[in-house]
Amino acid sequence: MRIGAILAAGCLMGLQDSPSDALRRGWTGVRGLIEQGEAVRPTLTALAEDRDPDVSFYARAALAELDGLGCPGASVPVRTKAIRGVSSVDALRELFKAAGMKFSGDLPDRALTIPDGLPLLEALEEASRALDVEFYLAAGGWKVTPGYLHAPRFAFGRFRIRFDQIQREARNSFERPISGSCRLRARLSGDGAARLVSVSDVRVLEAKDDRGVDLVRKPGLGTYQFLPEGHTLFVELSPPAPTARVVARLRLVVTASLEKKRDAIWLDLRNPEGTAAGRKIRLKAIERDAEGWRVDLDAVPAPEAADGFALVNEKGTAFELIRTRSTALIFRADEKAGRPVRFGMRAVTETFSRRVFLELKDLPLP
Amino acid sequence: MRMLIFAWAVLLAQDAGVDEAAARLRESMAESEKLSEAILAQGPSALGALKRHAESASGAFREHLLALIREIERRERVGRFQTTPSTITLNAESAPLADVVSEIARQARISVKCGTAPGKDLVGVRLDRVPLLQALDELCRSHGGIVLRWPRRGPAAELTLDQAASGKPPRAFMGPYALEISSATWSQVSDFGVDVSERIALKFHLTWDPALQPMFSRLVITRWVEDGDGTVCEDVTPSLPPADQPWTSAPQQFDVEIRRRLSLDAKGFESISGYIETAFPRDVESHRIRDPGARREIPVKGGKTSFTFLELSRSNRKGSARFEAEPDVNLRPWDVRLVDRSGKAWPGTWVRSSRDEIKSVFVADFAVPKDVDVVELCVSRATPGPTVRTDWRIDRVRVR
Repeated sequence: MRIGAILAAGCLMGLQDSPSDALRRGWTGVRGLIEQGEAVRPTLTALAEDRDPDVSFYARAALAELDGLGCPGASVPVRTKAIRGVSSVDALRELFKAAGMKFSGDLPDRALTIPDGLPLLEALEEASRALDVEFYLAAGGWKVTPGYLHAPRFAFGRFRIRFDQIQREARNSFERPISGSCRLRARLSGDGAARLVSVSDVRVLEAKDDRGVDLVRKPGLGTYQFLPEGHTLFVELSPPAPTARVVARLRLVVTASLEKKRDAIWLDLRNPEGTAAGRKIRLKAIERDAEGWRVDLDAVPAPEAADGFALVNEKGTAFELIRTRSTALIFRADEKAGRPVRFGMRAVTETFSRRVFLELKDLPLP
Repeated sequence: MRMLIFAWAVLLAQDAGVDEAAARLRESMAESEKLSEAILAQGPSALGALKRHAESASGAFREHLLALIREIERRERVGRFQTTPSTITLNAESAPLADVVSEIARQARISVKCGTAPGKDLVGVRLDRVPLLQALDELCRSHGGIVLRWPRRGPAAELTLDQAASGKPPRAFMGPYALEISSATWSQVSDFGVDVSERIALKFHLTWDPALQPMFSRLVITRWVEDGDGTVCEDVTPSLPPADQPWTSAPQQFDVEIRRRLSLDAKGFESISGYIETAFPRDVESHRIRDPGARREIPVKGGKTSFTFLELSRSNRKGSARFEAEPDVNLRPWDVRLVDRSGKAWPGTWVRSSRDEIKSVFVADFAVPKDVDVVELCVSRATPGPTVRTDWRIDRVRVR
């Protein structure tokens, strides 16, 4: 079988029912609707206010996906087709190639079946489960590591989320009734075509345990942090019922900031301020210390927002970066090169914001 | 054979003589100890006579008299530093709460206020030489709707009675000490894998009668009983601070973390018990600075230093004193006190210092009531004595 033939771009799904009925089918319906493009926007806008919370949620998710199509590198993604019992190595090589992504790593060679019509991330989720591996996006492209993590996860379109911790807590200060909470930690990542820079405005739209207890803690805001492990979301819910076994449904929406333009930013002591990924970065000092030349910034941009740090002298000769330490970058002192005068970095200078809707089911409670 | 019997009889006679002598010696030593205690009980008033006798005495008797003189002087020094904890005796029947509170405050010579507690409510309480904190707790129990609050830092020198909220923190009163669990947090963390970790964090808060000034304190939990199926745990938790660390302070807040799974039906603990260890000064070297603004050179451990008592300021809640010292002096709250006209020493509750290249300025807070007239600053260096162990037990600690 020719593997190249199993992939098709922008496969249009036929819609045999009304938009609201399609949305009641969930993410499959959303996928079908957004493939009709801008034509369905008025219908979706009306359905976003529907009384049925499911229709309203999926309509807003579909609208967000339509908005996301305006993002650079975010055309309708490549979809799987006819991956049934084919070699996993061949299938995934073709899948990455069709999506324009680099991939390196050793995959177990087994017969693989992936449902039709899935974009890259969703196809990778299927492949992970089937091959007992995890795919992750590193600086040099996609890589693979053995062992599938049985954690609550969700992927749709160009984003995926994986929950890696859940904490149930009860606090008794004795003078007030016992207060409880349920905290979740998750990592959000993109498919690599749309480069995620940061996340803001994490909101819990709906959360219920299997006993029907509403877990949304007002005002239902979560937090975001960029940690070495990736873009991390923290969500706090109200305590579930003591007998509850799972968070039956969790619906979130976040605002993702995606890279639109990356450019060189040069800072010196006369012009010490620049903007990377919408955040002001100020050069505080360039000083010599025991290790070398130390560049002090008021904040170091997240690795996704900036890279390629450079320190140059008047002639443009660059000093070698030795290490980063908190908000300082240390460059090797070279006596011949003399004194550095400018500090530069390649940074995201323009971003594109879009909302991402996420839905998890049956998150097991401890 | 006859010779052998004779030798045996001689030996028996010798033994009988030693036994008799040893018995008389024991009696005389017991008598000597009894007399020494009687002299010590007289305190400083016995010093004149003792010194006079010591001058004319010689040998072991003279050494014994000198030891008695030194002991009386040491007790006097320590006694100035540390007084006897207050006990309360009163018999009130249908008396306004405010009146009972002011009587307790008068007997203990500390500040006790009716905060949000209704002062006009009538209460009945009978107390006979009951330690201060316990007396106030009994008053609260007798009323039923009020709770005793003490400062989070320093001795219980300013006490307040407030209207109780929906519940009260579990507490134990042990003579001049009180221990409470101010919060309990239970948490379960899962990484969605096999492992689920569970922990219980308990925040203990210890306080003591303001007459006491322990130099060091330590909390140890020895046993807890769960309230579900009565599971007992006797794995001794590490003491706080750890037993292998040198004692450096008298902490009052102890954050205990128990990494253990509670039984499924347990809501918390039926009881938690353990002990506190405290150490008090064995001896104290005090130096008094009477005049604000005067500089005084004082020998302290490791050399000399000089202090200037700069000022004493008063706020509604606490008296604070500001004083200047040469660098390299690490003052702890129990090293400084303010002395009032009656000679009572008010211990520091908190010390902060700022230091530049020339001088160090220390600011210490003291829980001195507004109406007490402070006359001098006392800077002391105390030598710790043996540790004192006090057992405690706190009942009914619900954590989830």
